[in-house]
Amino acid sequence: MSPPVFTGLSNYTRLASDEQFLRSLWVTAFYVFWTIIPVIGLSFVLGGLLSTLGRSRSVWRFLLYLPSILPFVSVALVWKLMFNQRGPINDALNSAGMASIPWLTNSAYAPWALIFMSWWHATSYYTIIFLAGFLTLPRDCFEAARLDGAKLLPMIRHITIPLMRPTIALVVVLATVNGLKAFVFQQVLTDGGPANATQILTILIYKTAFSYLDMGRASTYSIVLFGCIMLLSLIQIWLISGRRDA
Amino acid sequence: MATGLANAAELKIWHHTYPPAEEFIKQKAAEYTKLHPDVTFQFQSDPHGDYEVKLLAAIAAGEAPDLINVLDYLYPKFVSKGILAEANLPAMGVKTNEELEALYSPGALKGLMIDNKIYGLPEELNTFALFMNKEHFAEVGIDVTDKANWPKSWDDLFAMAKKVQKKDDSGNFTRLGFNWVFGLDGFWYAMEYWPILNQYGCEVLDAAGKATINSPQCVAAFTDTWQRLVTDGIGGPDYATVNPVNALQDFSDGRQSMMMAGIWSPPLFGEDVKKNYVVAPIPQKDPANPKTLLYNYSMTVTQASKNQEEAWRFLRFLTSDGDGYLRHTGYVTGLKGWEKSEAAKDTIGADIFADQLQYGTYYWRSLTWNEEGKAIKDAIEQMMQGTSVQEALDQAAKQIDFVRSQN
Repeated sequence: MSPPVFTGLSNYTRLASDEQFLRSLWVTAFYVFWTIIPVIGLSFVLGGLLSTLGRSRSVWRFLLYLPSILPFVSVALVWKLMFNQRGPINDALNSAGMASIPWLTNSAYAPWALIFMSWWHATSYYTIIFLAGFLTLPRDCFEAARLDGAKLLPMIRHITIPLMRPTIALVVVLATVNGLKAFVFQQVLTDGGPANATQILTILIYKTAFSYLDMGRASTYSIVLFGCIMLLSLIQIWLISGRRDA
Repeated sequence: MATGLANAAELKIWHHTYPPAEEFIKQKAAEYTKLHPDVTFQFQSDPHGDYEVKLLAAIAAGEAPDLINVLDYLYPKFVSKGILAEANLPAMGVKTNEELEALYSPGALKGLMIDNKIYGLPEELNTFALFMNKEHFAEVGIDVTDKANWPKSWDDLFAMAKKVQKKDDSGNFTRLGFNWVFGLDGFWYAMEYWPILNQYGCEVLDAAGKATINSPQCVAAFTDTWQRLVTDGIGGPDYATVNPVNALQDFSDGRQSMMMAGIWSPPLFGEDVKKNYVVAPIPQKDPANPKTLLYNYSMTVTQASKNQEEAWRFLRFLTSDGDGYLRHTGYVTGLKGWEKSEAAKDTIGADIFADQLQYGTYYWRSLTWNEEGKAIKDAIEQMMQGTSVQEALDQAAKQIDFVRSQN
């Protein structure tokens, strides 16, 4: 490799006119937003339901956690087959009288295919974290509320959520960080395509460094990604935990 | 016979995944080790696309192999980054570039030269031809063993594709007449569009290095060929099986009746297709002035290799077996007179490839080819989804100009 050349801040000043970067930033934000919001809600509900189970809890816990322990690449390859034009998902749609959907070859569907897949994969992991949180909640608060005639939704709003705040903060931060540094699914399923529709920042960094051999630009993107992760994490922790203490 | 090396050398070879080539190189390496017991080999392969990325990552990490398989369009970038070693002519038994060039077909080494220095040897001097499944066409009453029935123009090709394609009751394809390659890296797309761009007089860059991929000629080229595939209901990305190890899976498995590919492709065909194909020249816009593709998947030695001399010596040993290469891998090494060899006589369509090679041109040269190729690939993917060709190519031109302005 040729020796590095000092270019000052020029790589950073060019970012504002770098359409690939700006598009990747948008694709990343879209992916993270639509992944974490449903995943956090779904994990919270599933974690709560699991905590109410008795003996069968460990079986359900095992089944729900299974997607998290499977190798990412294998999981991605299976989903790639599932989303194939002639794959089982389209077969099911055809059987129901619906037309096949070009899940991975159309810019309108590919981002959603990856988001749907991430729901399945990420929910399993965060459900276990929420379950751990639910199991540590003091039972007496709920019993007292029940004796006072409290209904389910007010109990969730006024007791469960405030008590679960540290766990929620942890999950929100973890889900955001994991969403921002996602890579394998996009790489295996679409390689950032079609037409850059799923080119999240990590894929752009990887291509810029090892396909375009532009280490300077790739490093700049990496620093921006690092900054985004740190900033968002700090804001989330402040909003969910710090602000409450204040 | 000993090499005279004071210490034993282990040469690491990296190659893109192509099982027939892998077997052949391993066999030649074993032969070399028999002749030079102090030289041993380690072989690694990865699917094309991933291969280049892993290779660059290894080089960046200081783990460069000794011998690598590199496409000619990457030479300007690789040489500018100091990755490739200049050819060691004495180790290859020649004194001058001219002496080495004289061993090859005209132009075979041109794609591997920068500033009149040679940086590699061709393993695969190639062009694309049209493969047709004769059984599929026989079913619809077209005898493609008769040259008169070969498609001469792109109009002919699409008309034939429509005749031979099959759909089920729900309108889903059960057999494609023709399809472009989709879902792979930018180089794969370029292998199919490059001859077409030349036929239409479309230039990717002008003399000043500014993108002209959105010129009227380029818009016409993509409209008449790539986009037409979708608008005429012949194929498209939704119907292509994406397999980086065998990009031609649909034709190989008998799900597609025609494809454009290199002479290397038959070893990948399924047994039924192996017995049932015909090779024809690719269609032309102006048959009197044919334009085709010329590319070179070469073997070369890295600057980081500690055994450069031995690596060049082995490379010459390996690539001089042109007959063995063609017979076992389908690769034409480009050695002079290859088309008259025994292996060529036994290869279906070798005469067509030899003829097509003379009309071929190498891709445009650029230090940022990968990004430029990706921009065009993105444009194709957009036009396949209904974006206007002009709009998609305008976007590609803008991206190419931006990338070039960064260097």
